[in-house]
Amino acid sequence: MNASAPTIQLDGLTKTYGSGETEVQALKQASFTIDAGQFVVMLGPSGSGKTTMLNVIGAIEEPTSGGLHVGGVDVPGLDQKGRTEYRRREVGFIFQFYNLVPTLTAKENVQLIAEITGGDAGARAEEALASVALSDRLDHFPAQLSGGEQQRVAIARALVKDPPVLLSDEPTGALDLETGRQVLELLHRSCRDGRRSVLLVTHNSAIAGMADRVLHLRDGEVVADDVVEQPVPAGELDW
Amino acid sequence: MSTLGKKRRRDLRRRRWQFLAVLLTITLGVMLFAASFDSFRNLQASYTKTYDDLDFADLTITGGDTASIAREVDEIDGVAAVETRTQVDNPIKVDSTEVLGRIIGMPVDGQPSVDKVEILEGSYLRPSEDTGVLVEKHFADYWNLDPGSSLDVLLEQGQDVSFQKVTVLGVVASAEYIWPARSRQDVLTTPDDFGVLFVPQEMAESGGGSSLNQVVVLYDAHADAEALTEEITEQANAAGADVQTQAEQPSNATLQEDVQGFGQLSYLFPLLFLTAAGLATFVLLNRIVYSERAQIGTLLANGLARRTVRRHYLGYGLIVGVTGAVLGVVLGMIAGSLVTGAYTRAISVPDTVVRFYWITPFVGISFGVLVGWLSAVAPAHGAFHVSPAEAMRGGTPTGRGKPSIVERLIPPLRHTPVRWRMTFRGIERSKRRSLSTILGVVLSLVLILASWGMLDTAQILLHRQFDEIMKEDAQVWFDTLVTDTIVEDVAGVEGVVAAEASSLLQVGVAYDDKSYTTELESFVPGTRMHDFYAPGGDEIDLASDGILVGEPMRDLIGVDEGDVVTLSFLTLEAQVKQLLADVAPDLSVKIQSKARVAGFVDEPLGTLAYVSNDELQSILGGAIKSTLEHAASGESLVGLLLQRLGRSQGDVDKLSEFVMELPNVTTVLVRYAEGANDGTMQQRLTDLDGVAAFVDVQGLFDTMQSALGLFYIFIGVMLVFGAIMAFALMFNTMSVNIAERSTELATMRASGVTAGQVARLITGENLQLTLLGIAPGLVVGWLVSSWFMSSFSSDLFSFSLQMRWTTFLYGSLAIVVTALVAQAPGLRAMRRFDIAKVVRERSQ
Ligand SMILES: Nc1ncnc2c1ncn2[C@@H]1O[C@H](COP(=O)(O)OP(=O)(O)OP(=O)(O)O)[C@@H](O)[C@H]1O
Ligand SMILES: [Mg+2]
Repeated sequence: MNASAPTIQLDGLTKTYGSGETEVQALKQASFTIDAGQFVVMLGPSGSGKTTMLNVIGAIEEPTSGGLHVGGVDVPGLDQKGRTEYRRREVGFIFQFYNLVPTLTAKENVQLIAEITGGDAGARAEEALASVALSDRLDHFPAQLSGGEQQRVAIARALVKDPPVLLSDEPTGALDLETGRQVLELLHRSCRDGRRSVLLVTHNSAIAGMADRVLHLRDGEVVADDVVEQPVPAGELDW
Repeated sequence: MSTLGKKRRRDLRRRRWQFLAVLLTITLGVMLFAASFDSFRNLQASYTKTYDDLDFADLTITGGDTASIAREVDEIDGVAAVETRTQVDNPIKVDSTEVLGRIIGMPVDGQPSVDKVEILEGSYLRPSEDTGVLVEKHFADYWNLDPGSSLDVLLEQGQDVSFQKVTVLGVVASAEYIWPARSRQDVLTTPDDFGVLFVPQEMAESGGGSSLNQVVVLYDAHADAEALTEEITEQANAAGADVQTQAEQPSNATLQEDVQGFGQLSYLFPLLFLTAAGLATFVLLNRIVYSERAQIGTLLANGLARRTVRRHYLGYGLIVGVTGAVLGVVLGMIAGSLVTGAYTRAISVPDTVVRFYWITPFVGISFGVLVGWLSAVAPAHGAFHVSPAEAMRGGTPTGRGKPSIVERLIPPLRHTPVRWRMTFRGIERSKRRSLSTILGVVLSLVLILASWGMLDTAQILLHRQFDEIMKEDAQVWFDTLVTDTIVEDVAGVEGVVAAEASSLLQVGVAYDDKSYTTELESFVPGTRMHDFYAPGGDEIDLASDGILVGEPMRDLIGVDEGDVVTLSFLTLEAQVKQLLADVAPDLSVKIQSKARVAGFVDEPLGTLAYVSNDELQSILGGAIKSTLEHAASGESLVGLLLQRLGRSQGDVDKLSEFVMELPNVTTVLVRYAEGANDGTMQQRLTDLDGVAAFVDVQGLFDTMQSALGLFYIFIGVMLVFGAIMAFALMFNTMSVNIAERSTELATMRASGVTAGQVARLITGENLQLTLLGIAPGLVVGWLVSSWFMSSFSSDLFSFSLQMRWTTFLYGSLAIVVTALVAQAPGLRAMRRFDIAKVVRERSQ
């Protein structure tokens, strides 16, 4: 288990897709630091580079230039093996469309990831599912779960590794208000003790109310970086 | 081009490897069809051309009163030409080696009107050259005989029988000896033991026969051959002659059997390939339709006609089907003409006819269209029935999960790591794809086992025939009766471990109204030269009260164990008739006797009859005497025969023994010491006094092997094609397996699962599918191979399927290796997954 969350440090991070006429600068010279244990919401219109940002921080995409240090580790400098190791130890991903394995039950979906990090995978999977209030759905297959339940399984899957960094892309996009609040609450709770930093991407500016900090992206640039003095509990959000 | 058309073109390009795999399989399938079908037709045409050019006899009548049969047959409507001639088997000496040759009389003043020869070198016979002869190509090639070369033939000169020098005038090809077979039973000859000479008719008559003994008949092109054959056969049989149709003619029968093989292949193998191609297309298109459900739904929701959608997806199948078929037809027709050429060269068919058959492209392309259409119909239908509501589902996989059957059957498996459980369930996840993979494995195994089975069968049966059944290393023929002294002399030769007297007689075996002509071979009781195996595989002995016959005889003449058959001793009839020809030219000699079928033997080559030397004597018994006595001047003929055989009148009871003294009846079978050199042994044995001919059994084995040369090449090609087919099919199912799950695999990778772990997971799943296919594949492969082999079987070759257990093992291993190789590209793609991109597709 990690004693504390790492700081995430971006230094002139740039990501360019394509070249010549089709060149797109998805990230332009992004520089900021997320302190350990912060709950950060990233806002921005479509195409502003939010997903790209998450992917680069999560090491599933490589930046074109610029520096990225997570807990002191030079992420762009990692080789293929190092990146896999980094993803395994440091980050948990939550995707908008859950991406559960349809042939595995809720518990097995979580356990599959638990197994790769060792330890008593079965027990840890149950524990993670319990933390998302799904103890009574362990043996259900994804097709037998509601959208919100599936999203919670996906969260449990991300949490089971107990990652210091949690990257979440539109986690509530497909959920109703009430379920969305539950999911956000869960995410918020998971970093309250300062052991985890959460970076959450959304279009929904209402969600920004619960963050410690809000980053605004436009055309690949960080155009605003606001610290929220009085975060609202997730349960009180409305949209 | 319509927008949908553009989409299709891009899809084809995007999945080019999968579509290429399908295309390749269809191309191979259609190519195989076109090549084998064209070869089949071309070879038939090549033979037909040679047969037509050389006026190949429709019917050959041997024995009886040749001259009067010829006169009668000539009268019959529909008979175009009739020729009479003399044919005898006499020793020929070339390079001081004696060979039991065949001598055929020809008119000196020009080619006969039936059974002409094609002059390849030199010229035809000339009246001025009474010692000039024509040599058949196979023999001439082997012994380097050219016009001007000379050789010796055993001929009568007055009372004297001795080798006479003859001169080669020409080297010729003959329709009767394209495949130089001595007889229907003896289709395997070597130029070392068989050669054909076409000699002036007069010379043939002095070759031991003093008269004509054969009538060759040619029908009018439009005559009703069947009716004519029936009519002439009846007449000839009544006159005591034996009839052989063109279909039964040894050379033609052997070639036809071979060519029929191509006919068989022209549908069986293509069928396998096209099924495989169909499956691969089906899997691929299903995948495309499945992954495009959301788009299809959206298009439908926006008012696109369902028919248009269906047509769009059917188009994929038709495009690959037609492209593959066109390529296949072109390549196949080229291959067909090459194969025809290679084949006619390999067995020296004088003519090579390569034609264009409209039917080939027509059928070939129909195959392509059919396969493309059939394989696309279900996926296209699936697209037709997509609900517009699918558009709203956002493309999340809708697969349902449940514990797999294996987990339910073996509960402890439920506690294995989830990675393993995932592989068990992956199999049941997409039943169609899994079934296709399994079916692909089955088809590939069928192809591999069918080809390999042929190889095994040929080799095992050859080994059985030449090592386990025929124990002799050589047959030595003498120009006199083989006596105990001769056998002892042979046994005394250095390097000989055993020698036994044996005899070989052509006989007709008749039961009820059916008859089969074969060879009756006699051995000393308890012979060490031949082992006899009953159909069950038990070793049996020669019977003391009857004959053993080949198993196919059951069907050929409907005989069973214990039945009494009538044996007609054709060799002896001909020879006795020749001995008496000057006094009784029209004598019909029938040497017949009853014999009990004591048992059946199971032998791969030929359907022969076996008897002990003693039993042969008792079967022959008084048969000769009684036939002659039934003739008009019987008494005096018996006397005369005894005199001609050099015996006194008092020995009449031993007549059957004496006839064995006739040439080419008795022989000595020899076994060499371990490690003896064949060449040295042949030299030593032919140096013995009175040796007329020598047959090297190893040589026969070599002939058989070289006859199988093309067959082996064919099998090699089939194995390569089979591997390609297996690869193409598995490549597709496995690529689809990986593509279908790219999101979940990418998600796993994003969570830190290593590429190696994911690869092992997929490999595990694919291996399970492969193993699931191997079991039924071996069974079906074996069934198809044995059916295939039995369709090749005849009275000449009993091709009951023989397979080594290692073949099953190697076949299975080959499939596993193919599966592993076939998934490699998919795994490589997985390793290179742009995780971000795959995840983005869903997560945005
Ligand atoms: N593989 C790629 N090739 C080229 N351009 C890309 C690629 N991936 C993303 N882009 C571009 O990069 C830009 C940023 O994309 P990104 O997915 O990060 O946006 P986003 O902020 O997540 O948008 P949304 O809110 O719509 O999800 C977009 O303009 C997009 O078109
Ligand atoms: Mg995005």
